[in-house]
Amino acid sequence: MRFWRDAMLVAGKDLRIERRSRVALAQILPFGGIVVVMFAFALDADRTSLPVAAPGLFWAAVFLAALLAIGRSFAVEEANTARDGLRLSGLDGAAIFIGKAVAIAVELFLLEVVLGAAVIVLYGVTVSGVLVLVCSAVAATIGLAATGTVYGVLATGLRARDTLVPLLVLPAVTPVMLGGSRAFAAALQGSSSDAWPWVQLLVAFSVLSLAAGTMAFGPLLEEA
Amino acid sequence: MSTLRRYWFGATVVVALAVTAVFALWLSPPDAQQGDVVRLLYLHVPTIWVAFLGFFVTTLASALWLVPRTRRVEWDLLAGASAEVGVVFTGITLIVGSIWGRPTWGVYWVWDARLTTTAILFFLYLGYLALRRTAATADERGKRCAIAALIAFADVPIVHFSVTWWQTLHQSGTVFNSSLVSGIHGSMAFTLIWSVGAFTVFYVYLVMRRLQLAELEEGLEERELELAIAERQRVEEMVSV
Amino acid sequence: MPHAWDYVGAGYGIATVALSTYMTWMFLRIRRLRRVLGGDADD
Repeated sequence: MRFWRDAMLVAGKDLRIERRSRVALAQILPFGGIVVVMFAFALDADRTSLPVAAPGLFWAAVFLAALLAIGRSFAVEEANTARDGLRLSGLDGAAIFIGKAVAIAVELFLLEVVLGAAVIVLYGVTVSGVLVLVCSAVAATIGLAATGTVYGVLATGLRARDTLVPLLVLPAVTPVMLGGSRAFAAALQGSSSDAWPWVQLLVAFSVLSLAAGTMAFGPLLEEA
Repeated sequence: MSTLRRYWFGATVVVALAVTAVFALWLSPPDAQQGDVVRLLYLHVPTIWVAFLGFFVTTLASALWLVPRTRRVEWDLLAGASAEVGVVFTGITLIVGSIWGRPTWGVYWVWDARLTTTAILFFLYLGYLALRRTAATADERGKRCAIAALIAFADVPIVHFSVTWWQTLHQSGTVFNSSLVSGIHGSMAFTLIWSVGAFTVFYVYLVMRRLQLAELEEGLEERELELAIAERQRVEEMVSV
Repeated sequence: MPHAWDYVGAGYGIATVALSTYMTWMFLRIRRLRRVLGGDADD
């Protein structure tokens, strides 16, 4: 189908840009790492509080890194009138949305794997319920990427874009923070069955944000 | 609305609020359990109601703007005006609620569903206001803000649901009654209902004035543009001569 | 309840100050713009 081909075209473009510029690898990933370390300082790095707080802290670090990833995703469109190029390309707005969201999601998945390993090692977490961890992370990441992409295009071209997008995104993705950290907490405590309702919440949020983006991205891109 | 009618409306608002104060602070009795602290609810309940009303109007106005057939710049300005009033009242709600909570629950804040959602609501629309201010031109503003407003409105029930769930799973040890005064009757009920009505009228007045301000600011931009163009033409005439 | 009126006073006081400040800002700005626009703007 043409729609998916166009979406993958855009996703491929963004990921190729990343592969060549390595901004996510060299800047966003280390940023996530230093945030994980910083939380240890903030919580006074004792052996009892960090493992308990690990689910929330992991997602907090991911959210902060995601803000950078979203900003980067739209920063690449600022150069060389790339945005005009997108508009004139004849690509369906919804397809561009899916493409950009997929690219952000892929970057975030890889980020989460590395940050997850860091959290396990540095916070002394015992891993359990891996299936739940993976499922909730997938659902959460999709919701996060989709919402971020919507706000990213909404603020694109505006003066204070870099400070505006974080303020817009974080309140809106509160359900993802709740769902993600509660699901992780349940999985790590060994009561995976408690986590599945949260996974459902994350899936529902992802579906809704994908729907919103599919409808809104095209019109917003035209305005930008 | 003509100036005279606006003055009368303003006077009505003042009277309504004055009556509210008289009943809330004097004529109504203290509550059996909460004592005089209950009087804060005659302020807290109307302000959150007005905030919700304000955000609802913002959503409606944004939707009307988005639909091409009903699109008028006034809807966009109304959305912004109502949101600003809404944010002011949400902030007051959080502060007054917090002050009410201290003697009633013993703490200034609890992460229960209602408070948490209200806090998120506050930030959602604070972001909306920031977006409005950042968009320099009316073109930049209209579509972006309308969509941001719709997303914010849709997000609130999701947030509320998530947080409610979060709290029911927590089963915290402190037992506090997050519901309002139970079994209110007589002059307390009257005071509450009157205060909600008074603040609603107050909201209408505030939005009306804020809309007037927004329209003036739009007029200012057009005027500056006209002045700049006229200036430019004059310069060109002088140069060409 | 002790100090009940302290809380009531604080709550009503903050609300009054906040709303008064907001309205004053609004009215002052309206007046300034009306003057600048020289009465061209409609009421």
